[in-house]
Amino acid sequence: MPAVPAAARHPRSAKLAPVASVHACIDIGSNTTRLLVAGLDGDGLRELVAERAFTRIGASCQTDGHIPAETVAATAAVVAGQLHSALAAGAGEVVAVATAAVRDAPNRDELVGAVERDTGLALRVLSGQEEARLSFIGATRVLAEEIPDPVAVVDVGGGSTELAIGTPGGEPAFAASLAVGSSVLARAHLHTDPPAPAELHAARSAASEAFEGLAPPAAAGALAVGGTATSLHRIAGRDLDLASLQRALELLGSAPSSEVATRVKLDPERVRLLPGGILVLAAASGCLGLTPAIAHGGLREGVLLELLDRRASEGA
Amino acid sequence: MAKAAPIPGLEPRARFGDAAAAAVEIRSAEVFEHARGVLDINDIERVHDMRVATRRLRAALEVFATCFPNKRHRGLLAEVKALADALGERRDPDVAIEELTKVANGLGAAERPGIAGLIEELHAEQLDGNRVLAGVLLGVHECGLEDRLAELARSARAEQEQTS
Repeated sequence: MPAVPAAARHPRSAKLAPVASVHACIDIGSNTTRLLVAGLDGDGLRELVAERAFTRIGASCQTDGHIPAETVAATAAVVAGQLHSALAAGAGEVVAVATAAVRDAPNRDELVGAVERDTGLALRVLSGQEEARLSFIGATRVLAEEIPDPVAVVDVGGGSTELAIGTPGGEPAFAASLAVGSSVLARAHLHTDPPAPAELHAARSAASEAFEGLAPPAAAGALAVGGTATSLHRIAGRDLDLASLQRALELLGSAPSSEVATRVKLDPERVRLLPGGILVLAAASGCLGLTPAIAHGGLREGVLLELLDRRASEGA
Repeated sequence: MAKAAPIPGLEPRARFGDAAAAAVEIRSAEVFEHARGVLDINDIERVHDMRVATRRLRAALEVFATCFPNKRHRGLLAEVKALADALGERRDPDVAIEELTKVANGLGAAERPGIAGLIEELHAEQLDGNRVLAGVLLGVHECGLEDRLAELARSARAEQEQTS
């Protein structure tokens, strides 16, 4: 697979030019709540502001998946803060979406209600298929260079992992959402810091089991997006072959997460979640028979590009 | 348009202060319930419903003005009015876009570009209105308007108890 130009991976470094409109996406995930404010025009999307807060919905959930009241309130407050930032950056439309941890919670309506009431935003809880589709669109449409066709996009999240395959820039021909992610494995198996070999073994088995029976169509290349993938860039390089994933696991297992976090300049919470994410990525690579390359873009970009398409079709 | 919720206990024999408290409590709850998803420009009725609910709350505050502590009442009425104004900023382009879209749909392809440009300008106004509304909504939440309205309602009830 050809190398991705640095400017394509980091749109912030792109030369600034006026944009037609500025919009924002707030994405409530299992580990984090993230804001992307981007300028949109006929050519696509340019990142203007990005924020992240660890809202830890997945980790805070009770055993039956209920989101505790304090997490509901804290998440709504984070969304309100990010809405402030979006407005300050000049965003006109602000779209809010939620993924696996909210989707699977029996009391998701409480969180939806709190966010909608406190901020006025309409919160769209995405299905697994929608999440996979939007991540695919976001990943394949923000890259400037040629992408293999068909391409697989793997989005490892905290509460789920999405896999989509299709022609870059188009709608995916295959989309699947699996109930495994970095937070899911951390909660179920990785209890010590750093994780013990036996815990990693159990988590590896769980990750492999999640992909059992999945038969995706063949792809010519693969892209990895999401928090796990972008954080891995610092410690594993851009191409996530099994050897680099194994080296990253060894590094993460060499000391407590706070120490490793200082060493690799990542948030300690992210470092604690990375082993689970790496094991899911390794399982996804095995399932696809491909080495994923880390790519910029994903769900939030996909949501904003879909908005751009919708507004364009309304104006047509 | 959402129908106004009935106000329990509001009847000719009710004490004025109790009626004031009940009216403000119910009308205030309606306003904040309609705040849900009000920034979604794909469903413009949300703004309309919240705006109507805000008008009903203002009417309740004005009709029962004598039941409330003067200074607090004046301040809260002004805040509710500011909220109503922000909703109006969004509502005006909403309505214009809806009507012009209907007109555009009845026109031939050759006549549409002119009206499409107008709709585009109104869409920009709609987004400006959304920005204003979003800022006001966040302010309303941060300064605890809902709680302070509830407190105002309670003060009318307490005053009624003292004077009865």
